[in-house]
Amino acid sequence: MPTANGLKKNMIQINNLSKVYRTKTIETTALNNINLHVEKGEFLSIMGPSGCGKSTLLNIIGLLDEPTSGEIKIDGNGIKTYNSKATAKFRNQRLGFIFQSFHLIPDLNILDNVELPLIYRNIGRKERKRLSEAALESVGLKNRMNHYPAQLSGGQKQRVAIARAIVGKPNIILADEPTGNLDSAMGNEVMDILIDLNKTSKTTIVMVTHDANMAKRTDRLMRLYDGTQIQ
Amino acid sequence: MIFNYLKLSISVLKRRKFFTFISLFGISFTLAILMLVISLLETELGKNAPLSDRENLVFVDHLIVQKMKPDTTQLVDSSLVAGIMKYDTTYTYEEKEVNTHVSSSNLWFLKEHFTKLPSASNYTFCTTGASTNIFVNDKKLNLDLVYADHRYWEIFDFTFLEGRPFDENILKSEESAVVISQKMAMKYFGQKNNVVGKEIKFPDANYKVIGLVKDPSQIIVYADVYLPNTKKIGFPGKPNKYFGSYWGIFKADSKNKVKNIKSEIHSIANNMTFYDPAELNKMTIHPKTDKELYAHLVVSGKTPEQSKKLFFGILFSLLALFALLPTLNLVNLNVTRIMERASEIGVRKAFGANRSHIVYQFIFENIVLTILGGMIGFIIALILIKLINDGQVQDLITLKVNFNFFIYSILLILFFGILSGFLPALKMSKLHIVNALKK
Amino acid sequence: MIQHIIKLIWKKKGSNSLIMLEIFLSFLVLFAVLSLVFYQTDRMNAPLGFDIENKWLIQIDRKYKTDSTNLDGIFVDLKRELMATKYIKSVGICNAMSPFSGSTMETVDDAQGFPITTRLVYADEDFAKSLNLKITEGRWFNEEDKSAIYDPMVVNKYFIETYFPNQNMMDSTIDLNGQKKIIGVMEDYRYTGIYEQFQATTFFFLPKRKPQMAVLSLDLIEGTPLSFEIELNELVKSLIKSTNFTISNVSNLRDNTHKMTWLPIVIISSICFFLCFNVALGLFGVLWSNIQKRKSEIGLRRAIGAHTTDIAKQFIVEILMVAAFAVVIGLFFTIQIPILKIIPIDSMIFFRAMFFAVLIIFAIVSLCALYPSNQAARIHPATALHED
Repeated sequence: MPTANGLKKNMIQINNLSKVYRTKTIETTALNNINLHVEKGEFLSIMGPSGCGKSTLLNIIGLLDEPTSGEIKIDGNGIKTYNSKATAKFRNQRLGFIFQSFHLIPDLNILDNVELPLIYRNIGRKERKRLSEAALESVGLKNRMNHYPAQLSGGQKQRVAIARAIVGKPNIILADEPTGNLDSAMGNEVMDILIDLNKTSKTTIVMVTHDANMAKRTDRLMRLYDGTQIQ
Repeated sequence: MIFNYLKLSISVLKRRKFFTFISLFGISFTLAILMLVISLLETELGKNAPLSDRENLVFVDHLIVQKMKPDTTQLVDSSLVAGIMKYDTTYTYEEKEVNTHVSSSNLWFLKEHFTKLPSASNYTFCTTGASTNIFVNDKKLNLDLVYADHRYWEIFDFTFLEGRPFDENILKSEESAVVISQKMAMKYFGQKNNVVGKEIKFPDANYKVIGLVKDPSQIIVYADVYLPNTKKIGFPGKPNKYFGSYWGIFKADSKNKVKNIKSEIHSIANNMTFYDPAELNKMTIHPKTDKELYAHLVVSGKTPEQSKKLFFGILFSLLALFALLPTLNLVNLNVTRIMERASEIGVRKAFGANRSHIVYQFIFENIVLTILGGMIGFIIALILIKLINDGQVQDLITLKVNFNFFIYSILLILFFGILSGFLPALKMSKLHIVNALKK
Repeated sequence: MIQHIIKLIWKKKGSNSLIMLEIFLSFLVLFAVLSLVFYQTDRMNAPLGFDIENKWLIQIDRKYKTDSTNLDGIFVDLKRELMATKYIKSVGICNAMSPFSGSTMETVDDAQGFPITTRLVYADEDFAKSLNLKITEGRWFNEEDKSAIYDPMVVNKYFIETYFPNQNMMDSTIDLNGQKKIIGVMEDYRYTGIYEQFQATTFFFLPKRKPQMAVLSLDLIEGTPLSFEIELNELVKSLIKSTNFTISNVSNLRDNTHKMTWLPIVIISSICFFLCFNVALGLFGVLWSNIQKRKSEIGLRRAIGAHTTDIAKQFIVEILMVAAFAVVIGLFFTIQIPILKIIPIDSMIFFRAMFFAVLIIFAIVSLCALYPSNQAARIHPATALHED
């Protein structure tokens, strides 16, 4: 949302963030002094080789993991506590996740899978169904809502996952290699949906990828190498 | 949310048929056996006719009469006080038992001392455990008998299917009249009804059936034939004797008066004037409530109250021990299979589920499983109960299936479900999202 | 290999300790049930010491008779009258300790310098004949014993073997509730049934203790009609002028006693069987699930050249070691029972129960491990690694 003086509002603000994994014998630095600002409505992609810490960074932005040091602010809220009820609620209302291996719940049908975030928001059954159907509609899978994940192709699964991520109208969508398990045709299809989402509903998207073609299509690119920001 | 959980549970159970079978097998048999025990306890200890007022009853099943002789022990204590040896002698006066008699009471004795208990609103003196042989068509029948007075029918609310109980007039006139149970009617007449007015040939006389009662299931009141005690040889008991074959049963108006009755009985025993103090000079009575009476049959503590604690303590620890193995089995299975659901837990947490959401969900799933197992167990229990009641296992007891049994069974199922679901659910909820989503 | 497996077990100590606890409890249950079964069935083949066929008992309930001295006279009259009937060969009298009666009377006397614990039975001169008790040494009571200086007694073999081993005690006088002379040794009188423990049993002569009379034992000729019981019933009723007596067939009494002993054993054993089966199924499920989870590890091992049998072996050894650990803990507790003599019965019973419990546990565990391990061994390295 543009403010009065024309400056865009910061959606994600990361200052001096580091993450160190410690075992008895060794210390591994996964992230080293990262500073990142993502504006509202921006589509950022993070690239880097395997093990460079890009997924760790995404997990930290998603409040799934905590940093060793540094500061993180999302939508103006400084995050201090992790793994609490408040964090769970925060994730539920403001964040949406998309994973490389989809992580659909195999025992639930497509509609129930999409409804998931709304369940933890205590929304009534009819309203949940209406919102989920709308979300499925937007990814073009409304006709499949009574199927089970095992009956869908990879691309369809990822579209369901996108529907699940957007059904709660989050401020930020975090996508961890959303096209990683898909062939290029399906990958592009998924990418189209994400870009469209970013354009039309001004949702902030942070995407981790190692596919340069996909990264090119986003607003901004950040490169990580061995836990250090190089671009 | 519950509806979603339910849908999910059923879908999970359907998808993993083998594990569902393993779990259901354990749950259903465990619960079936526990339900059988519930049925047994409910049959014997529930508030069912003819023992609807059981909580207000006090039983004097036997007297302990002893001969005691004084016994003095001398104890010398030596101690060194300021360098001088001091002796301190204590005498302990104790009573040493010489002779102990334990038996049920003489009718005369009960009538002499126990008809005017202030807290008892009613009382009856009756025999238990008497038996006799009679013959029908050259076939021997061994019968359990109860000799009772007319108040017996006021204390115990038997269900009369036909006829009526014997009253004071019948007792006084020493009429040969009996009340019989349905089982007896079947055994002797070969029919379950229309027996009032018929005669039963006993060794001493022919008795006319004046009443037919529904078979009582509790052993305290079980008998084939109930006879007026005036027909018992030796009625009304020899004077100045303590022992015979009678029990005294006292009824209080309310449950809290039971204590008073007990202490009144204690004080009668303590203040007893002995007929021949040189022979017997100490009397102890342990008045019992019905539960204490049952407990005392199985274990013997120092007092009836102790027996009751001991009995129920042992019973419940055995049951708990029995249920522990299947519970552990289920917990083991669930804990092992958490990883199958790791991705699901990760996703749920990522989309806003907190730890208690996850705990509730998995306990709920486990309860659904337990309820399914409980239903199968309930059917197994009903079949077992039917087998037992039909006497195919042993002609001992008639187990009841009633509303209480149903309620207790449901509570049992829920308890079992929560117990076996809690640990796995807790472990699942602790799963770290990042680890859960790796893959 | 073993060290490697121990490392693996330790890594999963959380879930392994649950399995261990389960096996430990199963071991305790098996031990308890087997001990009970062995204890009850151990002496089934030992002789009872008396005959059962064509033996009847008349039990008279003394409690219902108000005048007891009179009753003893009646017993003697009754015996005479019974002898006069045509089917009865002999009649004996004893106190309440009649075959399968369930009552016992025991005395402990240390007047001899060491404690002698023995059951007491009072019987008259014809009791041995009526039940065909087998006298191995000396003789049974007779008329002369009524005027003997020392009260006579007949003991069982066990009594001599336990308290006076390798001694000829015939005609010796010992102090047991007063001076008593051993006039005979009988084989045994295991009157509570074939499950009864071996124990010392002593007969005292009944005529010296009249108020104890309670039971008449009848020896009938073969082929006595059942209707004779009615005749007998009338006769007893007319003599004792009461109906508080029961006539029973010793073989029926035995059957009822056996039923009452067997029933709990059958119930307890079936519950135990169910528990074991349940544990077996659960264990099977756990192992199965574990192997599914460790597909990648299996694939890796296969890829680096482990043989199929190595893999199966590894899984079996792993679970057997967990079981062995649980059983060792179980043995540690159960072995205290015979060592500390917590329950005063033959310790061999407990050792046998332990042995068979261990055997059953390992049988169950191996059976449960075999199939999933074989499945594991068959996993193709490529599929196993791919699925991760």
